Amino acid sequence: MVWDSGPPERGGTGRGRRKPVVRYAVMARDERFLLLRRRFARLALAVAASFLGWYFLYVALSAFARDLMARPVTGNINVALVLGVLQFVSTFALAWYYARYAAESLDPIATALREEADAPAAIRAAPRRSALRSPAAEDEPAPERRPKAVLVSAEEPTAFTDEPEDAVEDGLTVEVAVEVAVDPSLNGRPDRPVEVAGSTTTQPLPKTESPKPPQAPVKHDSERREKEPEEELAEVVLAGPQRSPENVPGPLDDLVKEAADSASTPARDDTDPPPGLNDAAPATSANGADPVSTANGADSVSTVNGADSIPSENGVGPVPSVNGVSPVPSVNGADSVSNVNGTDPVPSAAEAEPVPNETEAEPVPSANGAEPVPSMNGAARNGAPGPVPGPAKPKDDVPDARSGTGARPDPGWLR
Amino acid sequence: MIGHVLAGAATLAASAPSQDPGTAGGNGRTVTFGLFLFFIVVTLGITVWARLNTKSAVDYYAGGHAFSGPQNGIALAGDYMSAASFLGIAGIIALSGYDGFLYSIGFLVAWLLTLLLVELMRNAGRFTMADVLVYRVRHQPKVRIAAAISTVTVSVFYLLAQMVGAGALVALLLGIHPGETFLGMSAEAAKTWTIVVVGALMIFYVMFGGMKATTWVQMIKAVLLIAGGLVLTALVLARFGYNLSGLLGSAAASSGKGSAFLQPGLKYGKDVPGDGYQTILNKVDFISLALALVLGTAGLPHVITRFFTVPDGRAARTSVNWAIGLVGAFYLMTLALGFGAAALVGRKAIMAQDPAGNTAVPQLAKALGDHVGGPVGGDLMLAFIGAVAFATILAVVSGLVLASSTSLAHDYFGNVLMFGRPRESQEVAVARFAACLIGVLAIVLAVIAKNMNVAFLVALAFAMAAAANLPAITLSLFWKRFNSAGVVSGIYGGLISSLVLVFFSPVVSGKVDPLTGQSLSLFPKGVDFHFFPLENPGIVSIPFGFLCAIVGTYLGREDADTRRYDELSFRSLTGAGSV
Repeated sequence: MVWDSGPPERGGTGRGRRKPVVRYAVMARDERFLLLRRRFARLALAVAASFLGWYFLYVALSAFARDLMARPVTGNINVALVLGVLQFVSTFALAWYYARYAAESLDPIATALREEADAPAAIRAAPRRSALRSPAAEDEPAPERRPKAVLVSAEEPTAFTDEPEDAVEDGLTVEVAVEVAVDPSLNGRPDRPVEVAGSTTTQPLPKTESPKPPQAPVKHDSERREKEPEEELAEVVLAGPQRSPENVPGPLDDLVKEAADSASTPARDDTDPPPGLNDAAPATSANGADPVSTANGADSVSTVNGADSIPSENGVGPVPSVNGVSPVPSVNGADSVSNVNGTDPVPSAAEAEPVPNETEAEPVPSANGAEPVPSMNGAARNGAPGPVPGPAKPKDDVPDARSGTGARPDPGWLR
Repeated sequence: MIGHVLAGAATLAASAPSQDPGTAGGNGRTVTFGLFLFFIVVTLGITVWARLNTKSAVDYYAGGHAFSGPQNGIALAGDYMSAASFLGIAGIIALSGYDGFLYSIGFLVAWLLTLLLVELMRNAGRFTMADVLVYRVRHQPKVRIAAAISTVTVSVFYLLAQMVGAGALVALLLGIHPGETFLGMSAEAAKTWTIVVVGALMIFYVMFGGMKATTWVQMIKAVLLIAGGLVLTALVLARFGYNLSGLLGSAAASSGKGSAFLQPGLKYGKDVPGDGYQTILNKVDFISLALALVLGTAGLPHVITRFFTVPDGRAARTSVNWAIGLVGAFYLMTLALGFGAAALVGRKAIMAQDPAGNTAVPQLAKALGDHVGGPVGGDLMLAFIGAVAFATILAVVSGLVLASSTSLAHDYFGNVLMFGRPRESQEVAVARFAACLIGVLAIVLAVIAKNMNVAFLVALAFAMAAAANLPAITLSLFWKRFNSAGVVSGIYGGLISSLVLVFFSPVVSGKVDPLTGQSLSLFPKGVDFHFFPLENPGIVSIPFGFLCAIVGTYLGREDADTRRYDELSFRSLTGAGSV
């Protein structure tokens, strides 16, 4: 159509549909979400197969087995009538079963994920986990969770890789993110992390690994980089909470993504965010200590906000800092600098800005956006949570327009 | 269905005897008319109230997302059960026995598919089907346009069927036959005026009241319909001592068809002795119809629009569960109504009124009323059922107009013409204007077609919804690789294949009643260009729609936006970020 090539299309794409929300894509890899999706798929397939099969069996009998249908059952009531009424009964029964199963086994997970994804990090806390346990317990024992979480995090890299193949740099960042996600598990269980790291390593990871763990807590990038990942992880776990506040001022340094996220959020209120971070930090650390899943959830949220809505301000802030500060940068430095900068800012800019680049810009940025998230996770435990709450709301409002639709400007109400 | 209603009504209007057996005599007619007026006044009041409470686009399109699950469930049932369900299916049962039941089962079972999709769609969308479809595609305008075209096409065809049927039905219910006059109108004039009045009311509801008024009209209608059904069912069963077998036996006896009346095969999938080919065709046609009924409901625009009137996915699920309960209960009652009419009114008396059987239920109401309360009781019952039918028509056409105007304004105007940045007030104004436009268009078309046999349009609407909308919806939600090209080709492929196949089918040309020699097609006798042997295109067009969507995806040379797919998937299942 005409719109495909011209600027109008971009405009339409930009405003008309909902803004991308990176945290959702990230959380789509959450172990609990995968469980939810599996259960829904199983339920939907079972219901669809049974009612369609049964209905068309009935239709086929009506069309081709009329002798059978004519057989009297009692009085004037024949098989056809009984089968017809049974269709009603089965429909009611399936509807009831679906509703009950959904309420018992799907809704708790969905609610927990939704709240985790949409609520400010500060609000997020223990209750969710407890809420989750009951449903999860059915299929998989609670202990399994951690391992699963680890697996999930391990998978993340691959999943992300699909999207951003375009830019190698992206891969780097992604990997970083992955490792970060893994880190929590590592803390808990050294064995797995190692394996995970190996798997992830396929990509550029090695160098990035060291930097990742330091993330939020680490003040000086160089030092941490030197440290081995495991050590760093340990640090994070142990000292994470405490350090996070301290580190807060320098989040940008640690990871590009972190920088982007934290920077983006704070960007608006430069001064404000840091304090917020400090305040929130302890709470977050608590989360961090918890199993992986929680950490992921928290991470993604913060990241999402940052990445998605980060306006032009973010773009400016994070990019430079990332390149300069981040350990990876040296690698990126010459090669990817342009890319890194280009990609990060572009997405944020594209989304925040009006019509223009939407289509083109979205995918790339999104990839970038997604990547940062994981890093956030790692960092989030320590310092990320802090920034999240503050920035999250404003950002959401601006780009997504979901929550506070009413008050927003024109474009907002549309989505 | 409505088709039969229409066909019967149309024929009847043209050729019915003027002696008025069962519909409405002088008193009954006046009471019926009075109840019509009462219903109109009440609904207009609601519309004014709704107008005062409609301030934003969310209010207009989706009632502010503020209806509760049960409320919306009742409205869904009211939206879904057209006059065809109420009068048409019962009429088919009364004349063709068990086969009417086949129809209602298809209509009910279809809701299970809707139940599986409703929550995801509510979570992912905001006002229209296109909101769900565009979430993950790269070329939004193309998809919006395709979705809007599909929505408007399906709605207008369905609407046309309803409007033409309304004209004939109301004339019938008021008992105005050719040669008679009522308030100075002949039957033909009454039909035209009915169409105009129904159209004007529907435009008024939708233009001014938006989703709020429409929902309340549909809720009232659903309650009236269920109440009417319950009363009649109880009376019928009471007449037979609550002995279902006795009722069936009596119905079979007075139908003149014996036990065949209680078995499938009198109407659908008929066996044609000595013609194996035609027999197979009939059966395949029947299966095709069943396919369209079961898969079409989840893609009907006026049903989809209703998903968005509740606050969240869970309420949407509740509402569909309510709808399943109500629709199922009502279709079970049609069994008693249809067989009751066959037994108590008799085939001959029904055929005398309307060869398609659409007056079976009003006649049954009169017979039962007479039995219980004498002539006055009969008139009252008849008037009540007539008013219910009138409310039914209004509720359904309003829902259809609202769905198409919403899609035109939100999808086409707001997100294509205005690049997604219209002012809110601007878009709502366009929606109101679109409602007016579509309403006027429907009135004009219906008046032109008022004596034509447009019965097939309902089945066509279901087939199109299943072939065009269902592939786009399900693949968008569940197939990672799906892309804009797939959506667009799926929608157009399903839509066009359905239209083309129907155009070259016997319902448009070439079908002749072997007994009377009358044309049973849209075109008069002598015109015959059909080559597609089935009357229902679903069995071909639905798979074709899916095929187009899949092939289009691969030919589109467009990478799927997998990250947005992940987002969509997360949102649709968890309700995160839903508005």
